[in-house]
Amino acid sequence: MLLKFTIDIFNANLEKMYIGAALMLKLNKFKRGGVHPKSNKNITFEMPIENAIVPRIAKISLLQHIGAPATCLVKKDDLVEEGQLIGKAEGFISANIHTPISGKVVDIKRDWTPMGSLAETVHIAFEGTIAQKFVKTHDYSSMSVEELKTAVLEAGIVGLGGAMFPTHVKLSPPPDKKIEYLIINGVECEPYLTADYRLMIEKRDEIIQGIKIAKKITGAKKVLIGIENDKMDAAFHFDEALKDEEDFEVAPVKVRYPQGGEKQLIEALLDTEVPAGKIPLDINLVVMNVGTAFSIYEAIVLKKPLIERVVTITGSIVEKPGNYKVRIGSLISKLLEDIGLTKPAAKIILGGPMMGGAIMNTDVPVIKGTSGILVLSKKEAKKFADYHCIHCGMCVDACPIGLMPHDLIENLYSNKYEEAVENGLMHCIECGSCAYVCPAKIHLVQYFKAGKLWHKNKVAYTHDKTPKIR
Amino acid sequence: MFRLKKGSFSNVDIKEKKGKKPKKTFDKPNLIVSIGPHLRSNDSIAKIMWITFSTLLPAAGWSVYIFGQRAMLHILVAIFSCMIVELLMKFFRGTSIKIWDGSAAVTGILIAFNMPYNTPYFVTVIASIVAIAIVKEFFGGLGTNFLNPALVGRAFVMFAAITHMSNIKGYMLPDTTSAATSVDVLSSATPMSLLQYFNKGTITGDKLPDLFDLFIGKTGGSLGEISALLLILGGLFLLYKGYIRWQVPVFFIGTVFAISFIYSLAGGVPLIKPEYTRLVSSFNYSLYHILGGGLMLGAFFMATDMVTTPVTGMGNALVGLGCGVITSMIRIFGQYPEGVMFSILLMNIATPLISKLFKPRIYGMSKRKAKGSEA
Repeated sequence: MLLKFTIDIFNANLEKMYIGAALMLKLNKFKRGGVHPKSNKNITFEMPIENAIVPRIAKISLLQHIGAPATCLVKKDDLVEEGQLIGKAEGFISANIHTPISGKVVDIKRDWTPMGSLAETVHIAFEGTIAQKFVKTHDYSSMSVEELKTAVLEAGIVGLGGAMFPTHVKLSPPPDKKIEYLIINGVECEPYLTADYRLMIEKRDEIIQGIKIAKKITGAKKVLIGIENDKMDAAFHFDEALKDEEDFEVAPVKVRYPQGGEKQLIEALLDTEVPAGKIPLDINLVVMNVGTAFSIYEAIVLKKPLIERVVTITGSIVEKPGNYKVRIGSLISKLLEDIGLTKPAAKIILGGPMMGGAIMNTDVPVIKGTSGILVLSKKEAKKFADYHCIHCGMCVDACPIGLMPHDLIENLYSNKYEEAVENGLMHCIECGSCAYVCPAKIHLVQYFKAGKLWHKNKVAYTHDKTPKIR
Repeated sequence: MFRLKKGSFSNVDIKEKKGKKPKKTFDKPNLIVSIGPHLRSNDSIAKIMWITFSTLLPAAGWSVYIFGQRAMLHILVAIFSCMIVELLMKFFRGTSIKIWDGSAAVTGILIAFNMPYNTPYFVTVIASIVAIAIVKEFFGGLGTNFLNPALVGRAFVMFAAITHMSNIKGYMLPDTTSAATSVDVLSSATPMSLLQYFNKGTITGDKLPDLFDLFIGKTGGSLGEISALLLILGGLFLLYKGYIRWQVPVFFIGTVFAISFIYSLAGGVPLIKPEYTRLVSSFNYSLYHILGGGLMLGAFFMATDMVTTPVTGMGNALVGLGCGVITSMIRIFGQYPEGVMFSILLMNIATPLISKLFKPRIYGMSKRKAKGSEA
């Protein structure tokens, strides 16, 4: 009985297993370093995307992207409508901001962003109802590349992987550039996060349409979709739909943190490196997150601006962990109150546990780059004291860039910033692999961030007045 | 399971409830704030040190089995004196006390392993003081010493107390406390001095110890170095845990094997047994070199010390190579029968230079051109 059952399962999955085995043999991975933390994705792996509560008060920061903050278009006591433009992109590297709810502007003031800085923030109190506004599909086949690009710019789309780089900038290569590959990043290498995975499972066709639009805009010859091999079902799911497409290729990559980093993914898929100080566009590549591709679809087919995104709300002490469709501007405190915690939280992290930032204040809004809200209990949020570096070299082995973190930290301990920069500090991608493996529990990334900030300030103001780190 | 009350989680509501404005916006919900990564691996310095310590315990047990009570006392004296000296030095230097991280215990057991069994205990204590106080703490404690403390301690007493540390005639007092001990083990010269006599032609090959005895450790020698088998097993466990790099033992042992094999093949030493061909004799001669003396202990536990070796694989390979060459040269051409200690100390000194030599290439850079590069 059991044997027959096993054989049945085996037969049913034979094709998949065969493809899986064939893929395993030639799985790609970036060449050096990396770590393999416990993924903990099983908490929310099976949870379908649900709608989170509509916020009563939305705080919409006007700085939700890399670049200049948007200019505010509304005044206090103005009535706004869902999806209305309230912040206009200031200059080329900037993005539009829309309101996620209908209501009344109650306040416009400088407020805290989740990144821990202050920015102009529009507070909107919810009034009226939620209208099903963005359901009608529009045909985009007659739109020209310029029109499509403008539509992306209008919708205020930024990279949803976490970097929040304005997408229309990425999609506007100089006319003499011929884009070879459009790389779609569905790797999601951060532990705990499953938002992109659920999106890939549930909104496959929409994502593919978004990719096709992006392909049309960039004029890329080929599309590579990178998916880690712990999410092979998503890879098969995509492969099924893209079987007949010549230009599309689903490329599973090996599970390894930081596989989802732009540079690491390029190294894994194409075996080339982005030259130091250059961006992928310089070697004719465009890299885009699956979430971004989905929002391009929404912007063009549904004419819906970027006002909500999928956020994984997870952690061992979360009562109803899951993948939620959250309106941008929702307060994290209200979301957590609705979802519920079984124990008091000790640490709340926006993003993944490796690169995400811990917040001090729970009354900060969800922004466009928030891919997850991770709540850690007191037991999980351990504090570590620095120990002596014993030069074990584990950080050197873990660094995907090829830096020598123990050398840099010695420079930074003694405030020798120039020397650290000479040793390659500015190449650091702050992935945290070195600090993860460090047996001495040295807060390497913290020092590196401070050192990089020092260098940037020095370049910007050409004086040395920044406080010493230690 | 309790559900948080509405509002209890938000500092806006706390503000309203208390009816006064908090001074700072950021101090209400008691959250830990730190920069990522918020996950850390399970390794820690103390774990690495105590695991290294426990991989040395089988060899220590064997040594007690062979040499009896004196061996155990030597080991305990060395560990305790190392820990006490570290405690005192931390106290005098005014730094926080971290003797439970196990580094002093590892140094102690390695010092004991390097002592002949009939050395007076005060020699072990002196070696411990030199190792911990001078080599480690004077240079800033764990992580900043540039030489292996245990080896410097041993080198110091080897020259300062040479009458007590004689390697050649050092094993003459039979210890009756151990039943397993044959008078042969305790009274004969060490394998390495026999090998040196053999090199010089003083003795013939049949006076050399049996190779299998050498492998499992039924010959004379320092306390911990005798059983190659148990040391290899301990070293393999460390390799499996990833606490040492494979390059050092492989290159160290490989180089010693290769050099002695070539030397014997070229006719540098007579045949071990007259009936052997030159090839077989050379092979046996190389096995004596890698199984005898402190090579296994040095290659797996001392030359791999994290603090005093380079951080890259290539650098470690070079260290292993250098150690092997120096050890073979001293053993074959030098006055001392054993050269592992000197070779490791010499390569420790070269470590900063080797580290500079093998910097990894930075991503996106054409060559190892870290200087003046700004992303």
